[in-house]
Amino acid sequence: MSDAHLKNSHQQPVQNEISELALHDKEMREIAEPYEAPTTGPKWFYLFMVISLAIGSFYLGRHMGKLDASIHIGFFEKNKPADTSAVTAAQSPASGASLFTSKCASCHQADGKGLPGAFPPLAESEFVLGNPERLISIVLKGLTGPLEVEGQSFNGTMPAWEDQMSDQELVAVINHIRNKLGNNQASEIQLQDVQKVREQTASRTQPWQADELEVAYP
Amino acid sequence: MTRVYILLMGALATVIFALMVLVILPKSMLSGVQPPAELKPLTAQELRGRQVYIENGCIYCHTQQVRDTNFTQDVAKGMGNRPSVPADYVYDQPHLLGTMRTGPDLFNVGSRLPDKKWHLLHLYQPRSLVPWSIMPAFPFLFEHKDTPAPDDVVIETGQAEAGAIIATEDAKALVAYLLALKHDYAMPNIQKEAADE
Amino acid sequence: MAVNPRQAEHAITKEAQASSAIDHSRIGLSVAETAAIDRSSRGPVLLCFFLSIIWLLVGTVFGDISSFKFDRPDLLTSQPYFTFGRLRPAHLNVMVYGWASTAMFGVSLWLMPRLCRVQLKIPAVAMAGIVLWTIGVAVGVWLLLDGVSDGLEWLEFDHRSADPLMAAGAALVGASVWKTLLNRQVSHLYVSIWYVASSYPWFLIIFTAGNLPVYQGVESAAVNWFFAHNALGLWLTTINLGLIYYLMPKIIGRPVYSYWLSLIGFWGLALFYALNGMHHLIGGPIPSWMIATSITASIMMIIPVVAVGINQHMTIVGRFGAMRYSPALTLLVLAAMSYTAVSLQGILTALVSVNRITHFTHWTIAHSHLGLYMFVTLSLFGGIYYILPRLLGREWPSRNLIRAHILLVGFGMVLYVVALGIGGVLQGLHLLDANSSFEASVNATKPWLLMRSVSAIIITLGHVLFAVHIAWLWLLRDKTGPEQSPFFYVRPILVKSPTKVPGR
Repeated sequence: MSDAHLKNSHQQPVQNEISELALHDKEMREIAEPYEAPTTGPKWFYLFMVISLAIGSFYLGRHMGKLDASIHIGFFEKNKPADTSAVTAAQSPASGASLFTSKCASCHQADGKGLPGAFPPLAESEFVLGNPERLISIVLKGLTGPLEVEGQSFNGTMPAWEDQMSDQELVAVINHIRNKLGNNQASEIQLQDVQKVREQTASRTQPWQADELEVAYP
Repeated sequence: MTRVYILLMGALATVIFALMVLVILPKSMLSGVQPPAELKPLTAQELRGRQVYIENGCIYCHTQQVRDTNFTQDVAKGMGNRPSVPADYVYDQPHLLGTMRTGPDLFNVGSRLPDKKWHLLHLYQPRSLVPWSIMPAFPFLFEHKDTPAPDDVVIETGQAEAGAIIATEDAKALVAYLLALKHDYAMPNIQKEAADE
Repeated sequence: MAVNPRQAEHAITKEAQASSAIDHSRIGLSVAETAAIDRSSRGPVLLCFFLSIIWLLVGTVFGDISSFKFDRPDLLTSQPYFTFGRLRPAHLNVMVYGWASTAMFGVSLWLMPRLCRVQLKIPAVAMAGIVLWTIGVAVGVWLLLDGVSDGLEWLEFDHRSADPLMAAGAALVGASVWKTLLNRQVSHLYVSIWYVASSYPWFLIIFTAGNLPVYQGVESAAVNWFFAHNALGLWLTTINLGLIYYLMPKIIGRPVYSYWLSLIGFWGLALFYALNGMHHLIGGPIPSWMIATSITASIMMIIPVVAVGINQHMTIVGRFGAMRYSPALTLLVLAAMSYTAVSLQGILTALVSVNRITHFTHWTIAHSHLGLYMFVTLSLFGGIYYILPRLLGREWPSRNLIRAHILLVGFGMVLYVVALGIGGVLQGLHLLDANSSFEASVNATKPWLLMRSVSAIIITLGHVLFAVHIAWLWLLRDKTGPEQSPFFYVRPILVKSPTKVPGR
C-alpha cells in the first residue's frame, strides 16, 4: 500500500460519518416548525374592526338603494357636488378648435385637407366658404351619397351633429372651419343663423343628399 | 382550529354566499329585463363581426358602456346621450363591456362614425386617419389583389400602389358590427321610472 | 445551543397537547422525518417548478411584445397571432395559470405534507393533475393565439377544450392536498393549512361558475368579474399568504405573532374578498345594489388586510436584518408588504371618488401588477429559493445571480408600477375633463408607456438570470456548494433559541 493511497483513504470519511454529516447539515437547515402564539394582538385593532364594520354598514345602507334591477341610483342624490360640476363642465362652451379636433378631424384631418378618395377637404371647399346656411344644415343633419368637392368625387356618410352639439358649440366649430382652417376666410356666422336653420330643418330625419342641398341651399 | 370540517364548511359557506349574492340573485333579477323596441338583434354578418371583435381582443382597449352621469363625464364627452342600462345588452353573449379606455368607447360608434370607408381605412392603418393613434393596424384583415373584382371593397389608402387593397369578409363583418353599435334611442322605460323616483 | 431543540420539543409535547390546542402544532420534526416528507413530494414539486419557470419565460415574452406595441403600434402587425388583442390575454393567462398557478401547485404540494407531518398522499394523482393542467393551459394559449377566445377577461381560454382539462387538473392536485390533510398527524391546523386547503375548493367553484356558458347580457359581466376578482382573492392570494405564513416565521425562528389575528385575517378575507368583484363595474350598467355591495366589501377588506399586516409585521419586526442572509426571506417580506400595499390601493380604487378618475386607465394595470407581481410572483420566487435547494440537496451556486435577480425584478417592477400609476392618473384626469379631447388622454400616457417598456426589459433580464440560475443549480455536480456569505445563506437564521417556549 503506497503512502499516497493511505493518505487518500484517510481523507475519505467512513460511510457512517457521511450520514452523520448529512444529518447535521439537515439539522442546521431546519429549525422547529412555525406555530402561532396565542396572543390576541393589539386592542386598538379590535376597536378599529368595530368602527370599520360600522362604517361599512352605514355606507351600504346609504348607497345600496333597492334590491332590484334598477341602476345608476346608488350614488344619486348623495353626490350632488359631483353632479353640479358635471353640468357646469358640460355647459361651459368648448373652443371651436378643440371641438374640431374631437369631432371632425378623424375624417377631415387636422389640417382640414381631408383624404383623397375617402373624405372631402374642408380647406378651400366651396361647401365651407359658400352659403353659410348650407354648411350649417350639413353639420346639423349629416350628408350621404355621391358628392363632388374641389373636382374630386366622394361617396361616404357624414353623421348628424344636431344632438351632439349645442347651438353655441356649432357656432364655435363652424366659425373655426370657415376662418381658421387652411387659408379659409369667410364671414362669421351668428347664433341666430344656427337657430334659424335648426328650425327650418326640424322635421328632417334623414341626412342630406348632395342634389337635395343644391335645391334647398343654392 | 382543529377540525377540518369546520374549515371546509366555513370556506364553502363564504364562497357560496358570494355566489348567491353576485351571480344567482342577479341572474334571476335580470332575467325579466326586456330589450327596448329600438334595439335590434344583430344580423348574421354583424354577429360574425362581433366574433372578429372578440378574436382580436378589441375589448382590451375599448369599452362599450356609458357610465353614470352623476360622477363621470361620459355623456358630456359625447359617448352617448344617456348612461347605458341592462336592457341595452340583453342580446350580448358574452358581454363586451370592457375595462380599458386606451381607445375611445364604442357603445355609439355607429352613430358617431357612420362611414364604412372610414372604418375600413382605419382598421387597415389607423395612423393614416388619426396620426396620434396607438391602435394596432390590422393588415391581416385585408388582401392585396392586382386586379380587384367588381364587387370587391377597395380601400383608398391614398398611396399610389400597384394593385388594390381589398377588405376580407372578416373586415366587412367587423365594420358592419361597429356600425350596428348604435344605442342613441331614449332610455328604456323600466329604467326611466327607476331613475325618476 | 445547550439543549437539543428536538428533545425539548418532545418534552413539552404532551403537556402542551393537554394545555392548549395551539401549542400542539409544535411537535418537532426529526431530520429523518423531514427528509422523508420532502422526498414524498419531491417529484410533483420539481415538475411544477420546472414547468412554471418555462411559463414564466413564455409569459414574459408575450408581455414584452404587448408593451412594445404601445410605443411602436406598427410592430409585428402582419400576422393575426401577433396582434395586441391576442398577445395581451395570452400574457395574462400564461402568467396566471401557467406561471403562478403551476408554481402554487408546487408550493401547496410541498407545504401540505410538512404542515400535516405526513408524507404526501397519492403523489401520482397530483402528478397527473399537473400534467392535465399544463396541457389545458398549453391548449388554451395555442387556441387564444389562433383566435379562439371566450371573450371574457381572465376566462379567455376555450371553455370546451382548455377549461375542462384545467378544472380536472386542479381537482386532482386538490385531491392530493386534501387526502394529505385528512391523513394528518397533528390535531391543530396551522394557519397556512387554512389558506392552502381552502384554495382548492374555492378555485374549483369559481372556475366552474365563471366558465358556464349560460349568462346573457350584463350578468355575463357580473360573473366575469366575480370570477376574475376571486381568482386573485381566493386563489392567487390565499396560497401565497399560506406560503408566507409558513416560511417567514420558520426562517427567522419565531412564532407567528397572534393566532387570533390569523383567524380574523383568514375568515375576513374569505367573507369579504369573495364579494369584491363588482367594483370593476362602478358606474356601469349593473344594478346599483351590486356595486354598492362590492364597494362596501372592498372597504371591509381593510379588516383582514390590517390583521394580516399587523400579524406579519409583528412576526418579523426586529429581525429585518435576517433578510441579508436569506433571499427567500427578503422576497417574502417584500411580498407581504406588497400584499398590504396592493390591498390598501385596491380599497382606495374602489371608492367612487377615486374610481371616477382611475377607472378604464392604466392605473388598473399598475394595480394588478402590484398584486400579481410584487405580491404573488415575489412570494413564489421566495418559495422557490427556499424549497429548491432542499429538494435537490445542494445550495444555490451564485449569490451574485440571486442579488442581481432580486434587484432587477424589484426595481423593474417599482418603475413599472410608478410609471403606469402616474400615466393612469393623467389619462384619467383627461377622461374626466369634458373639455379635454381624447387625443390628450392618449398623448398623456405615451411617455409613461415608454417607461413601462423600459421596466419590462429590466424585469425580463431578471427573469432570464433566474432561469439561468435554476438551470445551473439543476446541473450542478458539486453538492457541497461554495462558502456561505450574506445574501446567499439560505439556511434558517437562528435568532433565538428555539427551545424557549413563550409563557414558560
